[in-house]
Amino acid sequence: MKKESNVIMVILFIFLISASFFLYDLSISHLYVYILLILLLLGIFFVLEIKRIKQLECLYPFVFLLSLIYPLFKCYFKVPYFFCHSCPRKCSFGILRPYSIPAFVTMNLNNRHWCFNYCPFGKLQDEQSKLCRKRLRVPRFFLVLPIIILIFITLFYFLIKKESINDFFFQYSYKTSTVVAVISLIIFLLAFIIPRIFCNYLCPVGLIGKITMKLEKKWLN
Amino acid sequence: MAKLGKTVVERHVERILNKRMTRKEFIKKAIIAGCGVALAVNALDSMILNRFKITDFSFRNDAPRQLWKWSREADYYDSFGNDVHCKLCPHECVLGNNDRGFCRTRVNKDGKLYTIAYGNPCAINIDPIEKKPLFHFLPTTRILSIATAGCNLRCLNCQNWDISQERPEDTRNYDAMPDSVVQEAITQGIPSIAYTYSEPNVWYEYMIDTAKIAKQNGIRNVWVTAGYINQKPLVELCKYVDAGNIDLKAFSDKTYHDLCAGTLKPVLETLRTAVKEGMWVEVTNLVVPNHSDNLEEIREMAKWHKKNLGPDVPLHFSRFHSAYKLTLVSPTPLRTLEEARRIAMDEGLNYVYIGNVPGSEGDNTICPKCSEIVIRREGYSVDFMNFENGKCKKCGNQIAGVWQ
Repeated sequence: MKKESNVIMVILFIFLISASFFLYDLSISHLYVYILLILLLLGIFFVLEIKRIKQLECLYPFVFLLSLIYPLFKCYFKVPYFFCHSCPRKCSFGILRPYSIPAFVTMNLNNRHWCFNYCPFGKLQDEQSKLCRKRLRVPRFFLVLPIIILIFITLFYFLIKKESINDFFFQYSYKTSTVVAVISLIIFLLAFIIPRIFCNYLCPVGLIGKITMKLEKKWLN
Repeated sequence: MAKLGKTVVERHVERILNKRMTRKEFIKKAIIAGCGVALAVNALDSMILNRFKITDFSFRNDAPRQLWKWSREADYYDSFGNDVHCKLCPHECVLGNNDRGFCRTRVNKDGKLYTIAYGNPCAINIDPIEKKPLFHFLPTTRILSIATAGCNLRCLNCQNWDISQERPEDTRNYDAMPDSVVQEAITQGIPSIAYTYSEPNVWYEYMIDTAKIAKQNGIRNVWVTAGYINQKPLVELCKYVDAGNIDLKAFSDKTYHDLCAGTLKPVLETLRTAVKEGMWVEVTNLVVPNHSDNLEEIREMAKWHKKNLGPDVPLHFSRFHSAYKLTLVSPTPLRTLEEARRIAMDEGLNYVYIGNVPGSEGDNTICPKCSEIVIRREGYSVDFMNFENGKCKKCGNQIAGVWQ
């Protein structure tokens, strides 16, 4: 029964991801962006554990999915998520990035709350890994990958305005990158046998969350 | 039993306060709360109070299905596959296929940018030139004024909103290609053509093509604008335009953003460039109560005007009358306008006028040397002119302007 509910969850996520491709106008509508902003602020409030609304918290992965998944479908840059500050035509992720990333990091200050409870990518990977008992061991040196990605983001945040770098990463068209699509599919498939592959080996928010969680435990104990 | 007597709120507070929390946990939660408050304030400021525009200004999927005959490929844009990046004004809209720009007159069709405001003016009138207002350029002459629909600003107080805030398809238009406009001016014996009423920058191609033909035929060109245009198209336009009345709606970015959905810097650049390129420029500032009537700001504006444009470039302070979305704001008090005029003249500007106030002393041109009235005006009409060959009859001082 539990496995069936996992299957249903994964299918639901796949359906929502497919539907997201056609929902650009909704994703940049005022209402949706303001809803996400309010949910981010409420999320920080819930993390303080003064008052929690579990029914609302369950909806977080589904509501945020559209905003977080869209850059994988269409982006002006060859590497999505990173260059929103230079983008001529922002999506909802680009619009909210100055608020959402700090909010995710803030929520992670308490037991990586965003990663384990609200993040749609984390939620999907959890459901996927429950479906398959097989596990693939990943060599430890791959743990360096998120550190390299974080350095890459920080460096290129300032360098992107340089024409040569802009020319290299800018696609000059708001379109789907084949490379991004293939890599996303590979990550999706590997998530069945490598738990939280995106969170542990790619996501910079996950990396910062891991570090803050280790520091939090050390400091509190 | 005592506990049952407590209210819900009291029980909650007790539960929170009684909750055991170590100092470190408290510090951790205080940091989280602090970050949350900082984020909330930042988001409130930029996304709500400053009317953060979520979309990049354009009207998605709003292009007409087929282009009509009053279209032409636009100048000043870059193409990226099927997307275009308009370079005409500082908004620099990025448009996908079938999107319409912020100005409502430019559309993307299959990776090419077209203007759909070409040869279809919705207003054609013959006005006195003083109406523009231009007080130092061919006074007492008539001017043929044309406009199409569209504008690249969203002024709350727009008095021509019924054409500026409309799409060209939604207004009743004439069929008047550039050569026929010039021919009309020649037939009627009118020495100049004004591109006015709405915002001529958004029908740039129509304006510049008409201006080129007009110049070839000895007809002068007058540009009445808010000045929200990029430098490259402006420099090209300056080759054909003889005079301009450019609005300087405020002297702060915040007021420009709140009142007009624009920014200040491009307008200042436009003013500087227009004067540098030899255009006869007169500046208009509409003084809107509670929006742009700060006298300190007006003083800063006058100082900037003298330093960057020169004391001989006329400045008009116009009285606001309620219009469009500011119907509940009362007209500008006459005292404010007179004070603004006094401040500007104290800062060294030679020609400062008060507009939209019939019978005001501020309508008259006064010789900056001997203070003699050189041109007396009543509204848009000139009562008498007391100078000869552009010089004051009394003291012989040269009065700045284009008199012939």
